[in-house]
Amino acid sequence: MSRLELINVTKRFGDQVAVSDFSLTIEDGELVSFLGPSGCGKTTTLRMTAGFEAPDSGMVIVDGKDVTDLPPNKRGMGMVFQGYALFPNMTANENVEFGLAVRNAPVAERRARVAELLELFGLSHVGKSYPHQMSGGQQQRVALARAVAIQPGVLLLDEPLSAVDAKVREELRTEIRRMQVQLHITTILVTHDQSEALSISDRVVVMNRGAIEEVGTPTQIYSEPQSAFTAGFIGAMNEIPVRVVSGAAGLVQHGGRRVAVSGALGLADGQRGLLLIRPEQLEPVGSSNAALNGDLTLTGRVEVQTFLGATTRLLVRESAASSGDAPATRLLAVDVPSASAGRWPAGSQLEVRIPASSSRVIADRTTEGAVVDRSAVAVPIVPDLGV
Amino acid sequence: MSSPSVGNIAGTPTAVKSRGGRAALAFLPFAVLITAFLLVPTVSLFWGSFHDSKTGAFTFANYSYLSNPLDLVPFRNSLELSLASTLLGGAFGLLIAQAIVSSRNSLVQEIATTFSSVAANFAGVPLAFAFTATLGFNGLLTAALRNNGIDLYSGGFKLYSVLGLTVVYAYWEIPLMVLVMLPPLQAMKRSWREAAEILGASRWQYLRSVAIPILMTPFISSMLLLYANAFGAYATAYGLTTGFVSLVPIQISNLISGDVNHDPGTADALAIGLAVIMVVCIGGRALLERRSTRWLSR
Repeated sequence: MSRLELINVTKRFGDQVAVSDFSLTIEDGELVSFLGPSGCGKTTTLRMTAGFEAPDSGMVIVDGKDVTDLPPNKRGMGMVFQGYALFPNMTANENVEFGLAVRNAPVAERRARVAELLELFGLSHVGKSYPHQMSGGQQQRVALARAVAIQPGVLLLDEPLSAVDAKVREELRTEIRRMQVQLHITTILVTHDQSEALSISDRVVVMNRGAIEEVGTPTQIYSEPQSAFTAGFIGAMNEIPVRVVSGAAGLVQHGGRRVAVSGALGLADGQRGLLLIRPEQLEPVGSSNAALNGDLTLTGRVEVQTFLGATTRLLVRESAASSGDAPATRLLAVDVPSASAGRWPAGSQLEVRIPASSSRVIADRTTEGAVVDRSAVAVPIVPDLGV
Repeated sequence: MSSPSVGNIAGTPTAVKSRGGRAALAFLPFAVLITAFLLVPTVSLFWGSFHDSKTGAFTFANYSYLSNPLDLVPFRNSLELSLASTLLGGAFGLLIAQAIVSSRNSLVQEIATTFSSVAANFAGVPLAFAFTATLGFNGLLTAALRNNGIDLYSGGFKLYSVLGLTVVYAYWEIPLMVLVMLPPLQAMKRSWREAAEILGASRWQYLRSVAIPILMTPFISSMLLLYANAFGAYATAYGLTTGFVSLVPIQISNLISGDVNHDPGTADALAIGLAVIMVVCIGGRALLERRSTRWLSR
């Protein structure tokens, strides 16, 4: 219900820069996720928004009003903490009522609001229970109800689902989104769980080393990452080193073979780049009737099969002939339907096609100005079933 | 026809019995200790308190002190001394523990904890001597203050009195309070304060509605421990006053070892009275701790 602006916010702890020149506008009713690895500054940014940390420079603006110097209890924000932070001496009812009670809201109004929220979160039956008598999921729902009870302009969620098990997490994230849409609350969700961020956010802010790496819709972040960091951090991504032959024509070269890739447009001729393609977009040759149509193909030997459920991930060691490297050390991740995975047991040869339409090429900043042999790709072995 | 032999498989009755046997064996030393130093003395005290120490006949006479105001003086003194030293130790101990937690300096916390551990166990004759040498009539501090125009003793203070004993008891009650209150204070989550704050609560509202109610249970529980600790103390009081201040433990000692007042039956009855107070304190503490553990568990 509020528009939030963070303008050039910076925070240092001693010599360590926790957040650097962070600027972002979050529109009224929007749910934005801060996503990044541990220590990237997402929680610090959230805490500065809440008022628990003072920025060294920059401003926090809510509905056009500068709240940078206001204490947390004057900002009209709600927050859900990582470990719920429910008051252990109060029942669920009392926890939800707390914010209204300290505001001296009339008792009848408080009771009605508590009943309404407990109903909304399916908690009516635990109203008289203490936190230690509730499950993790119930505690988290109470924490959410408590945070929204005061009708905050901005709702801050600090890794709210990190302490609950996988099944409850999935239920709760849907519930958070439902509640957020229903109540139309401007919301920031801090998480290191990409599936959580991608599944419920309007926009995702990928953070790295205290700065914004990329901002975009979940689809943009997943399908069209603008940086190698985002590509590597979000889901599994094959990064295949290429050299741009013609940026104007979108022509790149890999292993001595040239291929037209639309995503290469705009890069300088001769520049090193990374061809990015998801494991599910790599297609074993012969598994369908699709013609190669000049698409790039790679060959290699299957080293490991990892069962992921509907799909199986094959880790394929690219052959020297295919990569142009000697010795070949590059691993490719290829997702195939589990029903047909038996065709490519460990040790078998596999040729995969890279559809030109699915791949994109970005500048390889790690090799700019230097010739560096990229010996491996950013492919997590451990599957992420959530994406 | 012989049945086939069956190995000792986990979960089978034989294995369960074996595990139960090992558990019982491990419990044995503790059981012996409890029996020898708690159960047998308690039963002996209880039996002795209802029997005439000379004739061995059953009697209620040993409890006659309950109806004689003069005989209740040791109880009154012990109750007052314990209450005063508990309040003193509790208040200062809590403040010091909070200061230690607030310092957020691990070195300070380590040093304070170590010192408190030592000080809380420094009692008996050495402590009595230390106080005599410091705050006795000719003690170092007393003399130094006297030289600077402050005469403690002319102001009514006496080390060898209930007031003096209160100061001496506070010497170990304060660090004991620090030791027992540090864990609950450290277990208070910063996120509780922040949650209250962002919900609109002032600092006082947070203290009144969240922090104080949560800490009240461990605080009362700690006070009960301090009270029981002071009530049962003997060596320090005896070392300092050589038995001139009438306290329950000293009175029991006099009745057991005294030549003139030798009366083991009454000593047993007094000890039962002391035990009842200790059981109330320690039992109350145990009950409160169950609640406190639920609230403050990480």
